[in-house]
Amino acid sequence: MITSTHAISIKLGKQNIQIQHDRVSQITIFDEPLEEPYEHMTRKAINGVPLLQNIPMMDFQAKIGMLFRGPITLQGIQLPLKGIFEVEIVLESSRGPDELPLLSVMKSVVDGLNREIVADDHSIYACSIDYKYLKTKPSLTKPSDVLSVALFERNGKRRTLVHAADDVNIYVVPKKDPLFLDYNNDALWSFDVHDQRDIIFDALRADGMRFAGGGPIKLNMNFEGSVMYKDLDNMARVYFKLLEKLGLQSRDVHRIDLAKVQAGKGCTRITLN
Amino acid sequence: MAVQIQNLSTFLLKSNTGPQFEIQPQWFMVQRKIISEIYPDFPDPDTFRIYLYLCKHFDHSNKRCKRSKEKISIDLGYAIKQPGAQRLMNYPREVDHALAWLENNKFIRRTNRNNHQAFQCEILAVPDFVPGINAFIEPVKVYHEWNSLKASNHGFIMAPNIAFDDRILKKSPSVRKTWTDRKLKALLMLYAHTWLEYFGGVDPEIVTIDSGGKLVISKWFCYNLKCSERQADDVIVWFVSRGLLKPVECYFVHDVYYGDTGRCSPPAQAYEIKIVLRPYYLIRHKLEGDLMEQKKDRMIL
Repeated sequence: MITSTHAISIKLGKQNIQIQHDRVSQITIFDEPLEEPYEHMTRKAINGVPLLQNIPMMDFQAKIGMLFRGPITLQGIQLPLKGIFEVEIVLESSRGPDELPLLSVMKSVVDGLNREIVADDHSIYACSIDYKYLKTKPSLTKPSDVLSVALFERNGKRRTLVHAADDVNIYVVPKKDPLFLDYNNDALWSFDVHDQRDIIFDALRADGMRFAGGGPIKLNMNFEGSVMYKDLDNMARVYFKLLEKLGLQSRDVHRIDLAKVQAGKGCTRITLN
Repeated sequence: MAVQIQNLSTFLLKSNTGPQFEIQPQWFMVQRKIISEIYPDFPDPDTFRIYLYLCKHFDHSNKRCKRSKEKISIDLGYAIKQPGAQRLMNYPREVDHALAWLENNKFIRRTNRNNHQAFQCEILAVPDFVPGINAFIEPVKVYHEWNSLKASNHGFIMAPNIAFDDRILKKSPSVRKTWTDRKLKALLMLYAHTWLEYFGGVDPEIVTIDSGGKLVISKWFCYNLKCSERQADDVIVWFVSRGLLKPVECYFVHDVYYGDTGRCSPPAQAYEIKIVLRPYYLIRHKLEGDLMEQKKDRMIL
């Protein structure tokens, strides 16, 4: 299909932002990447409101941590690791991506590595997840999900494998929102980032950008700019929501590739294949 | 096929007619890691029960479990001291084996200085299991202590001592037949998901009874117990029939527990009604504190 590039300019706060898109599968936003704000706050309480994290999710993350901690400790390497890292995830399951949204699975896996295995998930510069449908009759007593996670350390242009947990029969629990005790007050926060995302959405929609349904889709997101201290998945969550508003169905996404690059100029490039 | 709870109405708690639950201050900690689809079970029933016993009698203030082999053997029914005897002549083989296994695999560390001093130990952070090489690896700088475990994302279960009384950990064949490994693990897991301020009992996402009286158990729960849904159903039904889990009809607002339908008027906000399983044995401090202040009055206890 021949596509042409459309350029629009929008006002985001005091700044004018340039956006290029092709109405079907590509969006480039020339601005510092946005990120979801709340993951950096303490887990126990946000704004003093008590919350409970989803226990199966926390447990899944603890298991991911264990799968890496044991073998790495065995090599005599001290944890947590400092450096620049890449993570590759392969998920095979008889459950569909509607039950296992890939970005939420990725987030859950990365949270399991964060702090315990890699000192800070800021230091993960590239992360991918690949989904394969597993056509097997599930066992009655064992989960049908098969998860492989590989952690690489990046040294300049080369990368070395730190550890890979391959083909683990584990019940995968995607990232879930915590429960808030004070339901009267805490659903009320609004974040600037969501307003900004909505402004971008309105402009793209008005200029004819929309995704046709159907899959499987391979999603690529590249974040450039002052991204050293921004989490890949927190940035991805903002733009994934934008894509969903533009018609992307999470269940159609069978592969996600995320990467960030520290650069002088901010830019977010999104491609769907 | 989901199991139908027979005579649900007779089990369903309607209102307070005298105390319905036993609330005790003593509780102990077990690390959640040991019950998992990717963690091996203890090598035999003795080791599992002796480990639970040690956890239960671990003194967090001095980081010791001061239970001699003789005390363990007698408490758990491995040996009987003959009338008039000063001490046991021999320690049962199972107890020796279990303690040696726990020590070799770094679940515990012996703290008695030599073999002449009575056995005592420290409970360690549960080792990581590495499936590829089938080995346990001791985690570095993590301790069997809640702040340490929390800080390093190791979950733990808080269970009332009375729910795991020595009587149900005993060696006797009849006790073992009733209190199987699966039941002990299931009960621990249920306590892992008991958050009174959020759910009024066990998280209904893990296990609940639907409005038609059918038991609904999460797959996650079954896999962690390495059992089928049917087997998990049987265990839960048994707990309910024995009164160890009491079904209570509760109001929920935004997925958070509000109060029992038999104890309070419906909330002003939009609400749902769910049947929650509330463990018969509850830990006192879980009912105290600011979060429980209002809710406690709306609970059948």
